[in-house]
Amino acid sequence: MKAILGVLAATLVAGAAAAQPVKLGELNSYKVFAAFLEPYKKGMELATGEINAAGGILGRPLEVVIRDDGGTPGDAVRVAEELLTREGVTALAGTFASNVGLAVADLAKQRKVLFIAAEPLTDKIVWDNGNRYTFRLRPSTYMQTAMLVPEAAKLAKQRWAIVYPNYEYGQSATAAFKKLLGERQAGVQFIAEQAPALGRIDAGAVVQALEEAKPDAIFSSLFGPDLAKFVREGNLRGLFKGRPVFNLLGGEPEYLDPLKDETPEGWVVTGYPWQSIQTPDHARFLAAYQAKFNDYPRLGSVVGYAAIHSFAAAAKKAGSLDTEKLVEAMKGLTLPSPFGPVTYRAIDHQSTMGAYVGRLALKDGKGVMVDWSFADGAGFLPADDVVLKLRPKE
Amino acid sequence: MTLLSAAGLTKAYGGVRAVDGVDLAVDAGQMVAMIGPNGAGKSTCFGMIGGQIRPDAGRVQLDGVDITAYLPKARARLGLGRTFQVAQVFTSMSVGENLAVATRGAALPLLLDRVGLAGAADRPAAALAYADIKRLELALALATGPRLLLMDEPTAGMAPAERRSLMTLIAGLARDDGLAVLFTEHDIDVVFGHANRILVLDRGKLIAAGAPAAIRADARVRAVYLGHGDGSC
Amino acid sequence: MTAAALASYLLTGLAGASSLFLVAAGLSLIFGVTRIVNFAHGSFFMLGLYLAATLVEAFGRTPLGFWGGVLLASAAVGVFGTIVEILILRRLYGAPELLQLLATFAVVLIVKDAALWLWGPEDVLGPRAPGLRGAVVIFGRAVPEYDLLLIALGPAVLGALWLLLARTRFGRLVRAATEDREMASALGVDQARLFTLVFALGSALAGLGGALQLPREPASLGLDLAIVADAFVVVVVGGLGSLPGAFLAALLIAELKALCIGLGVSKLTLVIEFLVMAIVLAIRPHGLLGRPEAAPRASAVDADGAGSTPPLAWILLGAACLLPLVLGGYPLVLAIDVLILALFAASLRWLVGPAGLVSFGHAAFFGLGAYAAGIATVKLGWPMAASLALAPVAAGIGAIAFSLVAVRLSGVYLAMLSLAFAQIVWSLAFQWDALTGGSNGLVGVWPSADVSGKPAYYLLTLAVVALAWLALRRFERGRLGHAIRAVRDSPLRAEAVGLDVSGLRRAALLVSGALAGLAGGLFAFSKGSLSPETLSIPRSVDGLVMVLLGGLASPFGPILGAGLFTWLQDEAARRVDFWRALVGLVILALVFFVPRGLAGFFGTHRR
Repeated sequence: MKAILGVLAATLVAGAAAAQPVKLGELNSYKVFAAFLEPYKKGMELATGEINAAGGILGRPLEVVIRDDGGTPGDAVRVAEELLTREGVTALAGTFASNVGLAVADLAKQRKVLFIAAEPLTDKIVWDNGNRYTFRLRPSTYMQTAMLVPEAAKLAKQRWAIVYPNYEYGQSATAAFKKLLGERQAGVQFIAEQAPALGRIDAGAVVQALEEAKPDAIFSSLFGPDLAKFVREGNLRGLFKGRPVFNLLGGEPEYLDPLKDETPEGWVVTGYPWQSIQTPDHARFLAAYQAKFNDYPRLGSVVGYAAIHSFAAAAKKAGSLDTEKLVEAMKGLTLPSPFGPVTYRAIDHQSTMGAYVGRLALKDGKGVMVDWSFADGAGFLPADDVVLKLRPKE
Repeated sequence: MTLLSAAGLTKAYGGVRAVDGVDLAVDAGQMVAMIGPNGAGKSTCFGMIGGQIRPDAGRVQLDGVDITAYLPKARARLGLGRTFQVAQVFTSMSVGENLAVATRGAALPLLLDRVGLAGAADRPAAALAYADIKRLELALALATGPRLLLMDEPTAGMAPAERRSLMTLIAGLARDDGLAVLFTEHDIDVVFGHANRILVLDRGKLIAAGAPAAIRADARVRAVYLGHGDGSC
Repeated sequence: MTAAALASYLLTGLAGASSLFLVAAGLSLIFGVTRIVNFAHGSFFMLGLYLAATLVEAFGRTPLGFWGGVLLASAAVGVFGTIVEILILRRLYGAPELLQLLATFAVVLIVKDAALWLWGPEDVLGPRAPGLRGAVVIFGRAVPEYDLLLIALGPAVLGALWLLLARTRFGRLVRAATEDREMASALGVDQARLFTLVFALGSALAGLGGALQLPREPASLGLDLAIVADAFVVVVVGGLGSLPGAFLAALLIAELKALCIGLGVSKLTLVIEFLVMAIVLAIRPHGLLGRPEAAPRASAVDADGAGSTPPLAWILLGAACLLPLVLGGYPLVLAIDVLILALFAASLRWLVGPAGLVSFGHAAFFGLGAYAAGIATVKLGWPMAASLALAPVAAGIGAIAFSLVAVRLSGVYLAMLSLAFAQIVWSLAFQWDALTGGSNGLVGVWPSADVSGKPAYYLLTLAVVALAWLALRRFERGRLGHAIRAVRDSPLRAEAVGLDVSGLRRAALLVSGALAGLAGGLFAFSKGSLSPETLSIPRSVDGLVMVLLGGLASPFGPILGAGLFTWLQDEAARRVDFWRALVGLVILALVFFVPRGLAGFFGTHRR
């Protein structure tokens, strides 16, 4: 009884001291990209709990106000306005699809508010369309492609076929791959390209067309249902026999797990081998996550977790919730993450969060990543002068 | 004076000749009835004269102008007005609005008065009795100031008294305004009571044409059409 | 391409064609008999696939388990369809077609959230068919055994349906009802029972189509709308209600897709089916094997809200002008959204209501306006006023282009052509990176400094929307507006009194398109960005939902509809996890209890 009263009293005291929470507005396409974003939400929840258990932000509790952005830029901008005006949030975070991320980034610039773009992969959000107020956490399409290129170059294969979902992510991945591999390996040829509409791949015909081209190797940036269909048809029609395949994002549990026993062994992928990462940072995260949710983390969990911690770290460094001070704090901010320390580069606001590059394998009827190594994002970005040219002047 | 003439009108549907080489003429001030059993080709004939159906062969002339290739709207502008088997009016509008859409300078109250709808200008068309809808349709056909009136079953669905008054009205139009009227009709009394000339169609072919008395006497007509031997006509 | 390769692509196309036909057949059957455009057909397909995945896992991956699971899934979807028919659609057969469409759309929303709740967010990849896991070599290329089964199954199902329709009493009734509803009911057909049976059969076919995809694709939550769009296209290209037509259309589309991929122009698959549909409808307005539709059911005779603008409207307008004084921040943002959507919905209501031209692709004009304004601002550096003025012009030009083919069509065919037009414009915006920014769209479309504040932009929007709305109202009640309504009421009569039917339809489209474009321009500046989503099918559907919620009869309907829709989406999305299902339930409630829309509801109460 005493204990209960004690807890109650502590809660009351804490409640009084922390009358005004610090609000972070988070918007994402929870319904449209549910597979990635449900674990993401859990990651955020874990981080929020940790931050508040450790005393909150500048002595105030952190409250993450979560909204569904409907998956469209128009709705996202409205939701962001709602977070800013009605909820009075200090900063914005989140978004998944590139077009939504870019729209919210532009709103952040217009309204002069900090935006931590957690998910969107588009290179443009920090380069062509970069702005003072927008920072991006995940390694971009360019970076993750660049992580695969050294492995690809090692093979010294001449004739490559490429398959990608026909929208910005797939297009940029393809362009980056062709450019980077072309730079490293003279005489490489890209002999076939297939660009099925996102979510609508005609896998039989696509696999057949790639097979007809008789490539030496294949680079794919498919994911989700498209990837599953491609893998199945490719296995059936023998496309992958004797051909190395590189698949961007293919090792992310979100997209790997549904493949179950049909996981294509030997594919080189970027992803997240949560089962076998032994670093203390990750072990702590994994234990806390599994304890809290009785589930294993997906990549989304890590991203959501790190995004919330990014904001907390920025506020701590700034010692203030003033937007301009937060922005200055974000520049060059370093914080720990389950993947090790991450730094938001001052030069282009891109974080150096890395990814794991490895091979797919089957274990107990499930897909896993083996022979992986960690690719630190910092090592896969263009030279500073190139970046400066890409980014508009402030 | 011949206002409407058609020569060799032909239309086939999937190998069946619905109308087969029909010639006809209607003079100003004349009321001409087109009769024939169901499926004889009357409506198809009307469609070709009105412009709703494109003939496979043949010509249609209105007042000397070849209108075979004209769209209905162009025929309307040349003075062809028509009513349909199922009355076609603008159901979402009032009687007055109906006429305002169709009219070209014709005085509205006069028009309503003529068809027996005086004072009904503000009534919604949807609320009219069927006989009044027929009257409204006639007013719509008259609103464009036609010289030729095509009427497909003008009295269908009307009570006998209403039929007589409507046909008397139309006969007046032909007599007083010199309108040419071509109509189809099932009611034999109406046909013989009002037509100056009668055309008889059977299986797409014109089998007889002439004054009512001559048609009444025509053996072929009696055989295919009136041939019940009941002597009713 | 070698002959063997070509033959092999065609073989792959055949398997795709069978899959397409299986899902389209049920839709065609349902439409033929009940005349219901069933948006939920894709949801039935999706349910079939999810259920099959679950059942086959439960029964075990034996042949019996697999085929038992597939058939049971199909049957279960048939039962579900029956329930939907009895609980929802049966009460709506007398209602205007659009109301039925709205109800089936509500079912889509509810099923989607139910599937998320039941199966979770992750894709579910089912097992392969036992005994058909491998591939055989044909034309020197590996062909999955399961593809061969599908290739046989399509014609088999077509044959079975043909036998059912030709040889059974049920089939005769179905054919009678498809050809002539009145006659069928005169023959003493128990319509309610027939409709239920047909709906059950149609949904079971959709479920079967889904279940049979088990070895080919994972069950995922995005399947419903993707599949229903495909199925619509197949049914319309084939000719509504014609099963052989649907088969032919499925064949045509699937083979063309396979060839696009084989020829290395895979990007064309984004839009090929809609191109096919537009071309077929331009040449054969009733599809490949379709027959001219019987005259569409007389659209509800709606009074046009004649009479002068009621004083209430002016009072509301005055109040709206004062809004920024009392409301700040977010409500103002919402109010801007409502105003823009109200204009969009008003332009659509004008088209669907008084002009009688149903559009499933109205977003095309909205998006054209938005893109014109965005491109003028971002790429050409035009001042805001000029960019905004360009929006209705560009959309108007789009409307004229559309009308060149569209004026010949009516009813569902016209609606589907508008959908094709919107998808073609969408794919242009999606692909033309240099001009439109591709899938990312354009950012930085902000208003000029003097109206960049929310209150100022609100007042600008209010002024533009109010003027446009009043102008539309004047037009609707003017001579031309009446003539256009006359064309809707009776094209025959309109022609016979000398009206230019095609010209008037074109004018109706021009006015509607231009106003939708203006709304799109305002939208672009209010959001600062735009993407192909402004042209997408969901936006067109949103427009229809708003129009129907508000009611077709009154010009005030769109304002109420846009207000309710925006508020509903905003509130529900914030407060409820399964907000889509909630929106669906609210739509159903409105369809049942306020079928004439909010404006009609308030109207009756005033009288």
